[in-house]
Amino acid sequence: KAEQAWALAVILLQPASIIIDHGHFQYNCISLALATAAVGAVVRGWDVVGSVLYCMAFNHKHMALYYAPAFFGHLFGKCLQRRRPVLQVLRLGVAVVGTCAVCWWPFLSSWEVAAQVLHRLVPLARGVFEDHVANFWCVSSVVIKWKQLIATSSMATVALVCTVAACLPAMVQQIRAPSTNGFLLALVNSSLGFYLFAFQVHEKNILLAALPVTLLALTEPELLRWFIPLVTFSMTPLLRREGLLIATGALLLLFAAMYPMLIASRASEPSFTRPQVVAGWTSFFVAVSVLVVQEVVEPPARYPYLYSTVIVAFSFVHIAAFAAYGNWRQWTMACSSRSKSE
Amino acid sequence: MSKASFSSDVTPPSWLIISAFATALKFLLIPAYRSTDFEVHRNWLALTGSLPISQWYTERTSQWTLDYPPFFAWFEWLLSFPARLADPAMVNVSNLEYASHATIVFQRCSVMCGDILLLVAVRFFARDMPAAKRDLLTGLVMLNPGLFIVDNIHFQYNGMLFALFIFSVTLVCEGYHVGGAAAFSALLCFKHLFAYAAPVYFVYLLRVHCRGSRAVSRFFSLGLTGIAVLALAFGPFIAMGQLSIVLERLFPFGRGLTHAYWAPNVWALYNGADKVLAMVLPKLGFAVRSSQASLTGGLVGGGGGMSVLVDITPKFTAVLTLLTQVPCYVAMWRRPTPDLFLRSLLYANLCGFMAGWHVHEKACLGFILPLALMSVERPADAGRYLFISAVGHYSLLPLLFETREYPIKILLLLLHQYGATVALLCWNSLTAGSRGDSANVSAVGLSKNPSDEQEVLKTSRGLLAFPEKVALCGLVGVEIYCLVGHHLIFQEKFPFLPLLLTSVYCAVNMIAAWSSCFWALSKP
Repeated sequence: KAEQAWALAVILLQPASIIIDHGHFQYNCISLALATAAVGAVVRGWDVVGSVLYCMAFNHKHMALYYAPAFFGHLFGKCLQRRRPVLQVLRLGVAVVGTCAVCWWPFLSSWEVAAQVLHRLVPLARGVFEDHVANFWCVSSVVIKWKQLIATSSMATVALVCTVAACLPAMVQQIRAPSTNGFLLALVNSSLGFYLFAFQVHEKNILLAALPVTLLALTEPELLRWFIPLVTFSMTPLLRREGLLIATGALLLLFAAMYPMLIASRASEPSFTRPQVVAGWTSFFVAVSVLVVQEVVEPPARYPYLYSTVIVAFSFVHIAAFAAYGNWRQWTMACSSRSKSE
Repeated sequence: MSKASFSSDVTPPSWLIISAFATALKFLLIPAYRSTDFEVHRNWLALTGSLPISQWYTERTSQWTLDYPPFFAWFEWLLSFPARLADPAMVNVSNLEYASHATIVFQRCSVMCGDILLLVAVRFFARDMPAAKRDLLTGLVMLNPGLFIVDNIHFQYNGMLFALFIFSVTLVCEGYHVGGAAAFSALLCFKHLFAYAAPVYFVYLLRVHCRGSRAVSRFFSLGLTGIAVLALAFGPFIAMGQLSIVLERLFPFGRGLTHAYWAPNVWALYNGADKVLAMVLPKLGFAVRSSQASLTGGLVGGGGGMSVLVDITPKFTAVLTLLTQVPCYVAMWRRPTPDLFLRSLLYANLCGFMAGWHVHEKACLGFILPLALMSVERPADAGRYLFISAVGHYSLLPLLFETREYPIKILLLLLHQYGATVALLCWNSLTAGSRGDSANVSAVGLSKNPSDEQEVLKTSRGLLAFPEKVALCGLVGVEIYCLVGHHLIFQEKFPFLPLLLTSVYCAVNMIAAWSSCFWALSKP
């Protein structure tokens, strides 16, 4: 019970969410809450309720669509395992379409109105990335100037293809072998796939990946240990502009105080190999040094965005590595549970 | 690749987690409300950092002249060196009300560094205690809402000063009398508010240290230690012939019997009665001395201000304070134990709070913190702590009058009270057996598994008596009245009524607490 309490504390006290919602000021908590409720319902087996909640989540904030491959994969996989799968799929389909119809009702009066809403939701004119975000397009644009190379509309197609490719493994795994832990990992992997390769990703969208990682607090707490600070670090260019760095540091300190309590309340302690520990601490010190140097030394006139680029590149490398690990974990866990049942 | 896996998640010690939590909160509170005390300390930083010593107590560019003893001035002088690195404009005396972001962050961090000393002092005090008791004490002191409100928001350096206080108490209790006396004298040279506790030290040390064949020489060694410390502090100013100026700054008796917001002491009741009589008597046909003036001094000088009742002079309050402290001198003389020493310290500070001249409600920390140190020893003291800390901290809430701090201050108070209650109840039940407490023997049979906490809470006897619980519920009523009730009933009339009600209600409760501490002096 103490373990559950500390897990709850860690989920709710996730520094990045708090600082973005309460500092930068957004209402991510609502769509994230609906998504969490959806996850909870699906895990309990209430698939229809879960689908409805998830529809509400992405109709509140369409970035919740990052979870779509995972939800689809898991629910489809479950349907396939039951009797009369076609009926199950139809049931969920009706729930989804119905909820969306209810949410969009005022805007379905004419095709133009609906199209205008879609046009606003998917701002194709704004380019493949804005500002500094730790995803593939922004980081590689240091070397490959995508915006000059490919036209924006074609860029959207390219991004779509890459995103689908990135999310495919997670979705396929869940269709083949749906499970709770696999579902949570699939959520992580699909949101990371979107984050790394999608069109017009904002740095705040990493919150979508952070949420399922915190939901894994009870089963895989060692993921939290470096992913949450990483997430917060990837957003520091934005936070620094807003003067929120001190508050962010305080929230990270609070998280660092809660995390050991979570670990202590568990029956078994996670263990890390020596190279992992060394690598982890090295990353940490590099990150902190970059932040300190940024305060003290002015960037050279030729590269005014040097620090943001460094931070974003550093974060990208870690996030990409984490995505690779997440996918690997999802597949190996599926294999091990299958071999156990055989 | 070496497969030598090891558990790198060795759980950090509890005090580190508590401190991390407290420090995170303090960082989050950096942009919160700052009172005039912020400018006061910035001004002192500036004048010690940029002017020669001879001008420290004569400088009056700013209205916030230096009115703490010399050691505090030296502390500000030390602080001015890193201050220059943070923001050189901070140290300029003529930069009145200067508050750049760097200044605010620097000042707030300096308070946090002082709080580190408090942690060290508490751990030192409790180093011989079992780990659970030590951690409980650390939590009670480091997460004290009064310190958060007064030090980290309102802005003062009490954490650091109480560190020195606790350190001197530890030394005296463990037998290092000369060291303890020196530490206390040094503390007096930091903030002379602690002078209310000086007679306690005097009587206790006289009784305990100056005995046996070498009594007289020991008396002299103690005396010389104290005088040496004072000389170190005031010497330079005596040499410059500024002693009278310094003393005038330290003891500004022109300020009025009470502060603008009445601290919940005897004089709050006295003022309240005076105000009521001043309103009622004219209606009954009596002539009343009209006095708009300062019940509530502040910056304006001039005492006097009672309309109906007799005026109170500073000398009278001093005599009254000393008289009320006499019982603890007597108790200590008869049974000079370290436990009674600590108890007398808190009683003496309480007397100073209740009967002193121009008492700030912030002085309540002077008895709440020693009581926290004692609360882990006996259930009666734990109950006393829960009651007094609730009333004392509640009386601090009006210090933060801006709306945005409202949820913060209420939550700080409620969470501390809840946490302290649960922790002390559990501790009380766990240790009941060793005290031979028959009423709680059934609780002793329970295992120390946290999941049995619910059982512990149900079977253990409550720490607060029924009247005390009723009084604390009354606090909630007062708060609701001040928040919404007054406006609903009176709209804009009688704007002083909410604060008056708060002061008077807390004062009545404080008198009850005072008598409880008084009776505790006579128990073994």
